[in-house]
Amino acid sequence: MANAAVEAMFGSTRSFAVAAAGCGKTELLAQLVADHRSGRQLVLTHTHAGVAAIKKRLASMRVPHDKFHLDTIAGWCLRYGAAYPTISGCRPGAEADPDWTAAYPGAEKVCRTALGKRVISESYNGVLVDEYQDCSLKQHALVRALAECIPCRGVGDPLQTIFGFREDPVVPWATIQSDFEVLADALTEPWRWRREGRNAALGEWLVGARQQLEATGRLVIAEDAPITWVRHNAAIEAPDAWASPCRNVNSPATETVVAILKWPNRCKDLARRMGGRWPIVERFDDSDLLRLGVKLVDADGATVVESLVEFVSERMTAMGTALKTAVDAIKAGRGVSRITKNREHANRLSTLANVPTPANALAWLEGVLAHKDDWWLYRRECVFQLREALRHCTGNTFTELPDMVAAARTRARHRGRLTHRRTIGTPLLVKGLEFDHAVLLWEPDHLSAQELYVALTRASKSLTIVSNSRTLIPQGA
Amino acid sequence: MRLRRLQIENFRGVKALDWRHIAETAALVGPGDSGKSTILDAIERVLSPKWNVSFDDTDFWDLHTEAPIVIRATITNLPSSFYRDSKFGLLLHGFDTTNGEAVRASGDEGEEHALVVELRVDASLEPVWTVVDGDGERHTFMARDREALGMLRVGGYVDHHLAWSKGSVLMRLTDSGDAVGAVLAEATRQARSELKTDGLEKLTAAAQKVEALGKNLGVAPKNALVPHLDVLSLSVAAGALSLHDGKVPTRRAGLGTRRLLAVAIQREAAAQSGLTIVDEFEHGLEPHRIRRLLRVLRGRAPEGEGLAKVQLILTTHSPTVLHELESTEVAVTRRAADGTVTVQSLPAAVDYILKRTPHALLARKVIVAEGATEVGLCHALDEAWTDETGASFGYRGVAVVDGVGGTQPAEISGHLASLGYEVALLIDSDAKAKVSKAVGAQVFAWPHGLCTEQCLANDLPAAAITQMATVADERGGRSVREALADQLGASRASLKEGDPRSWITAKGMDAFRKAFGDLAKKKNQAWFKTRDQGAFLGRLIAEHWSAIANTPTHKVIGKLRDFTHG
Repeated sequence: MANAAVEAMFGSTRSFAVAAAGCGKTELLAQLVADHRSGRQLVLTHTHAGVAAIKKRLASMRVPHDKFHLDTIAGWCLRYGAAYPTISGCRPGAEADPDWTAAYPGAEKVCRTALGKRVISESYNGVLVDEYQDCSLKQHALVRALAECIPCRGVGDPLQTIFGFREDPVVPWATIQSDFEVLADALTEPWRWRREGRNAALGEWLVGARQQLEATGRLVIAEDAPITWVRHNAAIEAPDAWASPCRNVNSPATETVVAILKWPNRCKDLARRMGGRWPIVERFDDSDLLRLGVKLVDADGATVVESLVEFVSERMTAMGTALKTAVDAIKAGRGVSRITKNREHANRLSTLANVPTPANALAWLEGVLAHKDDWWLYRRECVFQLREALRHCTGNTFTELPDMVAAARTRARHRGRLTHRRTIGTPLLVKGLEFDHAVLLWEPDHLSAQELYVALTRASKSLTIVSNSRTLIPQGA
Repeated sequence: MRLRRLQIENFRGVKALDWRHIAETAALVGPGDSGKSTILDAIERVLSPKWNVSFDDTDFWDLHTEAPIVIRATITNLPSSFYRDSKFGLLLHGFDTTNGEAVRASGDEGEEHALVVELRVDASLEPVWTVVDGDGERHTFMARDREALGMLRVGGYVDHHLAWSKGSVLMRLTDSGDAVGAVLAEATRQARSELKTDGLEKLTAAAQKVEALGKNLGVAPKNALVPHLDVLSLSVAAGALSLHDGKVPTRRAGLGTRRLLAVAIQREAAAQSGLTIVDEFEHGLEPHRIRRLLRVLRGRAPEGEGLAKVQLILTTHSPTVLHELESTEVAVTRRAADGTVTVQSLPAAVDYILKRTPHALLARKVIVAEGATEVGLCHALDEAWTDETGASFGYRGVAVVDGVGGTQPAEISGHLASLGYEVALLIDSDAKAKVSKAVGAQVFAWPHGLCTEQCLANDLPAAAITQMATVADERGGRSVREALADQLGASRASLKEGDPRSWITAKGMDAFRKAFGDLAKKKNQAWFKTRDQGAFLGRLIAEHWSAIANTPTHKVIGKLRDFTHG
């Protein structure tokens, strides 16, 4: 099957393979790179996780390193833009907190010059873009510039397009169809579910679900569907009832479970209900942390305490309430000596208010994180990034903190998402991740068809759908 | 590859150098110790494919090891592989031909792309090669990258390049280095199988002794121990394969031939690009081979027609080489007292010096003489002063140039002075000379608008005047006597043939001096207008030097002597 797709992709210098979820997209990419006809390929994807996945596959196929250069689109553009700032207009030395939206047109400008074309054609025999449906218009313009020098191929799935909140909109499917020769049914075999120990029936059912969504815009869950369906009307029943289907997933301790909801606030709500034991899948680039870093630089002791506690309590159950008395006392300029509850934490906060240094902030944060009986951290990513940044601060002021936060974020991006056995996330955040079991918590009119398809295809062993009806009608359908 | 700009700091005799606008062919000329060889050494080191170039304290300017040696080369016409983004594709500069320097790339169509290569050596003596990008950041520049540049130094020792050895141009010309290794291994095996062990009785005896000893200690070899060649230690290493003329290795050929061969191989290996640097281009070559090689290397018709050009940077002390070149191809090297070295191309206006008196460009001091008479006069004085002081013009780096009259002597002087030569202008002080053009030159002119002959006729003692008259008599015969008589206002009969004394007594010495000098200036009476005659006058001056003290002649020639011997 994949071989036919490989041949079809080589049939044109601007080919595009539509790849349904779990149907061998990475395998196709790897085979294209490994093929002797492809020479040296530039392989671009969106995330560091994507880079890691492709790298792993290429390594397992023993593709020589000189056959490809693998990078994120952003990373590659930043490199080209920064190399020739007079052409790209990119600010040099902006690597810690780069202006991504400027990096794409910058690199595009470089690629359109005589110098850039020479460099591209000497460096690569072609470019392969992964997850093309996630390309923004600016990224698409860059790829078009590359396509003027070298053959350009894309893989992706219009049914997995999820619109993020960004200034640079995603390239419309119609544009991809006019710029590429699209191979509509290149990859449709559900290989992921056919592997040993997976749920092959679920895989076949998902093929049908995709066809339903494409043909009718809705999904009817038949009585004999190989999934668990739980009736629950979110509009009239208490959201508390959502917790039980999650707990009911019958999974060994080594397997992963994800609960998928539309809105981040609902995720937080569920996380709290689960007592913090189901952390939320988070973005790496939460701007809250950057803002906190900047805010602490010139803040007085009381403000440092207030901001820090506020930031952490938004990510922890019960802690904010537990330490409220202490924070109020510090804000009012009173001592904390009469507070008996959570005394050691209150004392550390008091020390921090009197001597606001990164070391004292770290001492309080580590104390709170070590204390596990009364509260749970359910949003980990940014808190761990904050802890790492504080550890790297060497001085007695918070001057370095914004830089250290940026550095910690860069390291986190390369390290990949923190994984936890049981997690909660939105379709946007769980996209590209694979789990053993998934629970889709459906509310009418909330998810788009694309979000629904992404949510359905996350689990390889079992799928639970919680909804008010066996017919799921996506938003806008 | 083309070298466009070379910057040197603290390397040997060069404290600082910034040589821009390096031509396709550049012949470095200048007095000894002006830094020419150091410049070639610098180019070789910064672009050399060798990874083990060694430096010591004497390579630092004035032995100051605290200031690092920096050699920076800006190169264009880069090998295609350099454009890879994994190589230097993202480290390139644009090239501004007006200022001759690398600038931020504009990306414009037709822009030349430059790479800035730097070799830096600090007190640790460890050479570090880097590529400097537009932000001034340094990136590793490896030996095999430098090898792709195709730089060849043709120095005194080129034998290395006539063998298939590591880094030799012959190896570069051969497609696969593995093929060479296979040939060598096979040759070694054959040598081993053909070695007859029975001719080695003495060694065999020793082997048997060892075998007996071994048996005592319980070592039992499977076969008898015999001497044989060990493939490993029989190091027919790379380099053992070399070019042979029949059975004779080419390293036995004459130096010129070897140098020509090395250059030929390199041209072929470099194909489209490459840089050849040649020490003493003329070394070992007859003038006709010099001319031919220069034309071939520069792609000039007819010999070099259709051949790829290579950049050529050479040093020379040969007028033949200079004579072949355009003025823009000659680079005059000068070192200031503070160690700053400058390299300047000849202005097109002095092309005629190159064509007529190229040797002047090889001197430190130049006397630009009015015409043939003055040139001869200078040569005679040189001989006399050499006898007296033991130091010739040649020893002192003084060249004499014929300015061929009119305004040219002054113009030549000005141009040469601007290139850093010390220049003396020896001329008549008439209006034609345009002394104002000789900026920077010392002007030695006869006073009161007199020409050389007039001045000498005025100042030399009577005995010398008689000698001058005798020469004039020999050269001109009757016409001279008649013209002199008319000039003196004496009867033609009073000037007797073969008796110049009678010419002087006709109207007295003073009248004769004036009439003789005035007449000698005239075109149709050019008794002294050749180098030989000029030399005759020069010998008279030298001979009567003490007798003419305090005369204008003594004063002018005295200054000239101070110039040449100062």
